[in-house]
Parts: sequence; C-alpha cells; structure tokens
Amino acid sequence: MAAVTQKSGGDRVLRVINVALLSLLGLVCLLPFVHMAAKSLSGRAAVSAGRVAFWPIDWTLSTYRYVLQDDLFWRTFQNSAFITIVGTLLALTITTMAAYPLSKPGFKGRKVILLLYVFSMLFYGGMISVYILMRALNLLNTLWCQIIPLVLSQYNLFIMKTFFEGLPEAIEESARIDGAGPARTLVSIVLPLSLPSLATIALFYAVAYWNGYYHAMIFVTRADAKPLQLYLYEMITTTQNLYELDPAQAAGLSSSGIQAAAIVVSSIPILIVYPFLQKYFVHGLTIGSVKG
Amino acid sequence: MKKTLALFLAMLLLLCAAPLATAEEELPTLRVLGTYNAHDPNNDPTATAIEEKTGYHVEYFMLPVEDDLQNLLMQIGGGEKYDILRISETMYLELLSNGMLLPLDDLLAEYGDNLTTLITKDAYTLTTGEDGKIYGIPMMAERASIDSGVVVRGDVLEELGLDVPTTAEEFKAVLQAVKEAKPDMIPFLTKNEARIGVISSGFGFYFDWNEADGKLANQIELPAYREYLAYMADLYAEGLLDPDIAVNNETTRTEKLSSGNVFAYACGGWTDSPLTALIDSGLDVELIYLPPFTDEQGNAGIKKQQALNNVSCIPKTAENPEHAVRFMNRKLDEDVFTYITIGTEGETFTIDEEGNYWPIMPIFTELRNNAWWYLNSFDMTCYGDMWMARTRRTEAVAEIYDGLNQYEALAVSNPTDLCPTLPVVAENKAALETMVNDYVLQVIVGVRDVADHDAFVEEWRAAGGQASADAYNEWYQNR
Repeated sequence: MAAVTQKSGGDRVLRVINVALLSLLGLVCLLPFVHMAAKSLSGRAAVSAGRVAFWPIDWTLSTYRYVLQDDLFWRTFQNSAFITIVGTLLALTITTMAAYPLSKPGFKGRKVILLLYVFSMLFYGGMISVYILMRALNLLNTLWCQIIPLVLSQYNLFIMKTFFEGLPEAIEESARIDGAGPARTLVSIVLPLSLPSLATIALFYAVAYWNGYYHAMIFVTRADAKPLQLYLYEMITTTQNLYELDPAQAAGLSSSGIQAAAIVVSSIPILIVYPFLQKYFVHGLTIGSVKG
Repeated sequence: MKKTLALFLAMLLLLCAAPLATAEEELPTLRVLGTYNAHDPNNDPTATAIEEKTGYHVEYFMLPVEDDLQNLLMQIGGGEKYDILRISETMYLELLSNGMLLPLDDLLAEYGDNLTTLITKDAYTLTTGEDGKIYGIPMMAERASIDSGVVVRGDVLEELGLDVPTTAEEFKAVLQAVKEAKPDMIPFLTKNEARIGVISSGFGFYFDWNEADGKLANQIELPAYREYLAYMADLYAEGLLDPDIAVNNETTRTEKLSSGNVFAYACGGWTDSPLTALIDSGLDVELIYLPPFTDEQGNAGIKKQQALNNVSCIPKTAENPEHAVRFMNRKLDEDVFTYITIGTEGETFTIDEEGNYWPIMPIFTELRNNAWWYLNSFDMTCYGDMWMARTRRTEAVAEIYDGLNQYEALAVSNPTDLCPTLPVVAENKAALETMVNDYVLQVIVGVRDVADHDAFVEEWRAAGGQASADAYNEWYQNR
C-alpha cells in the first residue's frame, strides 16, 4: 500500500514538473508574439526607447490605421490570399492525382516515376535555370510564378501515397464490383476516407504558400504582384522613412511599431485556419508512420 | 466655283494634316527597372504626372531589397528586356564590366540636348568607360552638402558648466566629465565606421583618399590616421564609447538615443533616423552640432558630399533605346521637370522672398513623396535649391539638415569626386572597405593593437589597396 502511494507521489511530482516545463516552453513560443502585439499598440516614444515588453504603454491604434490604409498592404494581402487558396487547391488536386496511381502496385513504370520524384527531391537545377524557364513561360511578375514552383511537394506526395497504400484493398474492390471506375473510386470512396491526411497536407501547403516569399523575391519585380510576406520582409529590412509622411500622420508612429502591427495583422489569417484543421492535423501527423 | 474652292481647301487641309499625323507617332511603352523603394511605382502620382507630361507610358519594375546586384545580373544576363536601368554606381560598374550596356554618345548627340547641356561634363566623366564612351546618365547628389556630424546634448553641457569642444582633446575631456557626473549616460554613441569626419578633421584629414605632396594616399596610409585610431581606441578603453559598438544596429541606436541616455552621437546625414526619432520623441533636449575639430595647425574641414547618387543606363537588350533617351531628355524640359519633381507652385510648394523653396504639407508628400525615385538626372543649375523643399518637410529633418550645414564654409571637396570609373578601384572597393572597417573595429575594442598599424597597411596594400592607389594616382597625375 505504502509502495503504491509512494509511486503515485512520484507520479504527481513528475506531472507537476512536466506541466511546468511544457507551460514554460509554450510561454516561450507565445511571448514573442505578445511582445509584437504590445509594441504595435504602444506609443512612439515608448517603442523607440525600447521600454515596451509585454504590455502596451501609451495605448494607440495609429499603427494599425497606418498599416490598414496602405494600398500596398491590401494589394499584397489579396495576392497572398489568391496564391494560398488557389495554390492549395491545385496542389491538393495534383498531389492526390499523382499519389493515387503511384500507390497501386500494379501500376506500370511506378518504380521509375518514384525514382524520378526522389531524384528531383535531392537534386535541383538551381535558381538560374528556373528563372530562365519562368521567363520563357512568360510567368515572371505574375502570381502563377509563385504558385507553380510549390504545386507539388514530393514529401507530401509520399505521405499521401503511403496513406493510400494503407487503405484496405477490399473497400476499393467492392466499389469496382458495384461498377465504379478508377476515377469514381478515387472521388467517391478513397477521398472521403482520406480526409485526415488531406487536411494535414492542405495545411502544409497553405502554410508554405502563405509564408513563402523566396520565389517572389526572384521572379517578381512589379510591386503589385508581390505577396504579403515579401512586403513584410521588405518593410522589416528597410527603415521606414517616416519623415516623408506628413507630420500629423507621422505623430505617434515609429517604424518598429508599424512593423509590429503589420506582422500581427498578417499572421491573423493563418491563425484563424489552424483551429479548424487542428483535429485533423493531430490525427494526420501519425499517418504514414504506421503502415496498416 | 465655291464647290471647287471648298474641295481645294479640303485637299489642302488634308495635305497639311498628313505630316502632322505622322509626327504624332505611336510611342512605345517603356520598361524601367529601378532599385528598391517601399512604394508601388506603377501606382504613384509622380508616375501619372510623368506620363501626362511626356506622353510615354512607362511600366516600372523594382529590384528586390536584398541581393539586388545578383538579381540584376541574372535578369539582364537572362535576357530580360528593359529600356532604362536606374541603378547604383556599383551595379552600373558591374554591368559595364560585363559588357551589358549600350554606349550612349550617338543617341545623346541626336536626342539628348537637355541631357548634354543641363548635366555637367564633369558629371559625365564619372560614367565614361575606359574606351571614352558614355555609358550612363549620371545623377549626382542633389546638392553639395555636409552629410555627417557629431551632435551633443547642449542641456547637459550647460548643466555641467562645460564649453562646446572644438578640438579632439577638448572633446575627450568633455566626455570624461560627462561620464563622471552622469555614470548612467552613454558618453558617445557611434556607428562602426572608418572615419568620423568631425573628429578626423582634428587630425588633419577629411577623406578616404587625401592629397599629400601632390599624390593621393588612402587615409589609412597617413601617419595622422594612426593617431586618430589611437584616439578612438583610447576613448573606448576609458569607457567613453558605447560598449556595444560592435553589435549596435539602427534599432538599438534609436532606442538608446530616444531614451535620453546618450550625450554625444555621430550622425550619418540629414535623414539619420535615430536622430530624427530623438527630436520627434518630445524629450526636452537641446542639441548642439559640433564644428569640425581644429587640428594642431589650426585648420579644420569636413567632406562635402557631392558624389554620384545613381546612374541611368540602357542595356544592350533594350528594345527602344532611342525612345529611352528621348524620354529621359523630355523629363528635363523646364516645365516638365519642375512639375514632376516638386509639383506646382502654390499647390505643392512655395518660394519665399529670399528664393527659398518650401513644401506645402501634407499635399507635397501625398503627390511627390517618391518623385526622387523617378529622376534619371536633374538640371544641375537649379535643382539644388528646388530640392531644399524636400528637406524642409518636417521640423526634425530640416533641423538636422541646417545643423549639419551650418559649417558649410568649412566644407571641402573630395579630390576623387571627379574621378571616372576605374575598373581596378571598382573591383576592390567593397572588399577593401569591409577590411578597413573590420580592422578599425578590432583596434577600437582592443583586439588588435594600433602599434601594428604598419602591418595592416601592408595587408591592405596586398589585398588590392596598392593597385587602387596606383590607379587613382595615374588618373590624378594626368587629369
């Protein structure tokens, strides 16, 4: 009896330490965001002097007013929304359509195609050749040059393929007996069963599209075709010349305050998506790890 | 009879109209690539104004904020067709040495009357290649002005009963006094730079390349530079320089300055943003701009900034080089130029009785905030005055500009200002500058000893410094 209580006492200590450590870790992840939010809501003098930590000083919304009235912010926001939505849908379609046949052992040439995917995962032609290709395709300075390079990730393809391989063959067999062709089987039987992995991969793609700016930095030289993240990146790497604003507008603004506001605003959309996909996400993370 | 006459007149009219119609030729859309700036160049009032006045529709593109040189080379090398590139001198030199640019002499002779008369020959020497041909339209600094200085807190000086220092030794004594009386204060906040003009004046040199006995020598080759460096290292050793000198960036400098805890600050020009932030912070401080220090011979001076700002050039891949030159030329027509750079008198700017230009705010910023980005060059006879309207937009900026430029009488021209592009110099410039900056920082924080200065100079010479010095001197003797 004594041994049992002793053990559960040790358990409790372990649990307390565990909770404390994990909370601390969670806090460490959260604090930078809180710091940004506090900065974005603080007055200029406090921000410039570096006095803001985790609670705003001299509350103001002027930074948000500045960010939200910037045409370029909205323009790039729209671009990013388009790239993310269209890109994710396209990427899901293409990834599924590639992964499904590749998951069938009877598919001829399967090994060669898989090898090609793995090869291109490891070796890459380099940016210059991609640039020249994009130029030849007339895709420079469009939103498509930011969508197409990311439209198929081999890593996601393999996750999908492994998931499809794990589905019981009997289900598809029964669909075939009922007269469904491969396309019908995929759309009506396989995809509804694959929602967890689809959601996971959708999130992977969406985050990659939303956060991507590298391709835009190389392929886009027109301000109106840039994504939001590139706008943010440029904003942070250059100093805002506030002296060029009119004094009434510039009053109460500091460039780090504006940067903070822009970062907060731009991270909201992807934050909103997370809770909706989370239940699939947690489940989906384990897919591909255990083969049924 | 009437009918015949009418017919005759109608035909006459048609005949007259015909050449008119061909004169109104269709203008091509021009593609212009510029360096990065945070605005959408295709959607800006200045772009509209330029199209309205010149008749050319222009599509504008921008280089990325980082790795812009590599990106430019990839684009031009990849065959991207731009008509005009408005780029930095470094980028221009790189394209020129790769043979990617079109010589402009013939086009200028035919279509560039404004470009050749309103921009001085001296300026063109800066964009003339080794073959004697012009490869770019130079845009110089808008106005020869002083763009560095040291600011001290006048209120602290007064509180401690100290005088404004005018020599390096006096300055050091003041810093010591401040450190003693106010231990929490950072006595002197600086960037990591090879020369702070106000202080180097106290040691008798003002430029990167200085004339000594009819020859050009880099500052680090001068005996005076060793003294200057020893002085700076001494300031650091005594705790008079900000200890974070190696890691400071614009944000940390802004924070330190705006917290009111800095006594002296080395300011990097009239748009220096930490200093602007301090003035705008509303702290009750009095700022005094120190005069360039007097050296032992009683001389003082400070560099007059009049270097090349950027270059507009035409790549060999351009589809409309002739129109590109006509477009740039048209932008310099008197009526067009004023309108596209500072707008309309009475609407966006005013001229006072003394002939000073003042902006009307906020409309000036709304309409012409980014006008500088569109300039290929300017009328060098008058733009220096017009441009002042841009510096007088906020009190802080105007205050810094006037503060730095109160010593205009002491401003001296850099002997290498009018030196054309020397390939050897261009090739080594960036690496040598980094080398010197690193060395200076190491000496200041005590990692290297100024006693080994000669060894460093040898290192520097071997790394391309000697080649640069030779190239400069060859030009200097034959100029």
